[in-house]
Amino acid sequence: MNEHFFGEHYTTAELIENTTLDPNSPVDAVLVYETPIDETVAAIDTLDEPLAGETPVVVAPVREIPLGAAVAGIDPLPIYREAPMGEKLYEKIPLGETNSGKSRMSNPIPYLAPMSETNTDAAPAGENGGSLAALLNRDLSEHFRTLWNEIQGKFVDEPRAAVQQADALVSEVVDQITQMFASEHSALEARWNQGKDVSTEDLRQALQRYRSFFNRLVV
Amino acid sequence: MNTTYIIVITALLVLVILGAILLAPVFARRKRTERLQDHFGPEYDHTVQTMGGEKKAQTELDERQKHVDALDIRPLSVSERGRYLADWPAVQSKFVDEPGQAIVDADRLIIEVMQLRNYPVSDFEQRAADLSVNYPALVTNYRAAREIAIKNEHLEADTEELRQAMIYYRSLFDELLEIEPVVA
Repeated sequence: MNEHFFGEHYTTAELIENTTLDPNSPVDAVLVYETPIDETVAAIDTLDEPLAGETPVVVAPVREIPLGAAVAGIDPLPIYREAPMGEKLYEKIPLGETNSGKSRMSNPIPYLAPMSETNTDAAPAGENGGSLAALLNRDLSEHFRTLWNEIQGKFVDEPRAAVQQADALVSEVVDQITQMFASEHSALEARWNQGKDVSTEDLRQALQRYRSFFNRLVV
Repeated sequence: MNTTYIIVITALLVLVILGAILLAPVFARRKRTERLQDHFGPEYDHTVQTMGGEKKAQTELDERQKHVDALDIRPLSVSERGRYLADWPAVQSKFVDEPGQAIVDADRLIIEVMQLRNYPVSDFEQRAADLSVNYPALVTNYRAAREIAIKNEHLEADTEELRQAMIYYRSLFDELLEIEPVVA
């Protein structure tokens, strides 16, 4: 599943897009995730194309992952290996070329897509000093749960108002989740996307944080 | 002239006193009625209806009062009160998922609190009668909730009725808790 996650972000289209956006620092560009949905989808069609030569990124199929280990009956996805950061090798999975691959991949995209728009005002994760595992998730969850309990308790007295408030609360939660993901995502990125001199240990921890993030996205 | 005047005055006084003595029971009865009506409010009429007469009803209400006065009703302790203050929102919240069960729980909470406060726990009519002495305004709600609870037992109460019952129960429950603990 983690590979799956990475596949979503390290798409060829992103690499191309980012290279175009920031030709002077190709490595950084590789690491930018915020990709509008359509670009990501476009990536599906361009997966097999090698990347433009000016980036140090090499994308080549290395081996096949039996994804079936996690999801039975799904076509195995090829893993690509790239070397964006000097000596470090990254494994990644491109978006699946099959329809089944596409549909599975596109699931989390609605949450991730608006990230670039909300990066700046998404606060709580950053406020907590980047403690990503704990994150605002807990505080916010608690906050929302308190609100929910109030609403539920109110039903007996004001059924209609309770339902209206529940509706508003759910909207707010969705907004917050969008914001939270955006800020967490950028915080994650900031921790390891600082140039070439990132230690393997930092990267290992980054991957763990991505996994934690991922696990919250895909329950 | 002087003597006649005194006699007339005296006779009038005697008449007034006699009249007062004769009319006293009438006034007393009226006063009793007023007192009971004032105190029990709608419960007074309800009792008149169920007892089938004002006289019987007044006797009944007076007896209730004596009965409750004889009970050693105590306020809840602070901790008891705190516990039940916390219990109620849980029951009310439960309503969203299990309205019928929430009604049952609410009724049970009221009985528990009554028990703690030394109200004898007996049948519903007795409980209502006892409550009517100290919470005359709320016993109507209690009865209304009871009716809905009985419908609920037969699965005939709709959600709105159950919601009403919940509010009726709470009005009484709040009052049962609200009395400030005077003694520790």
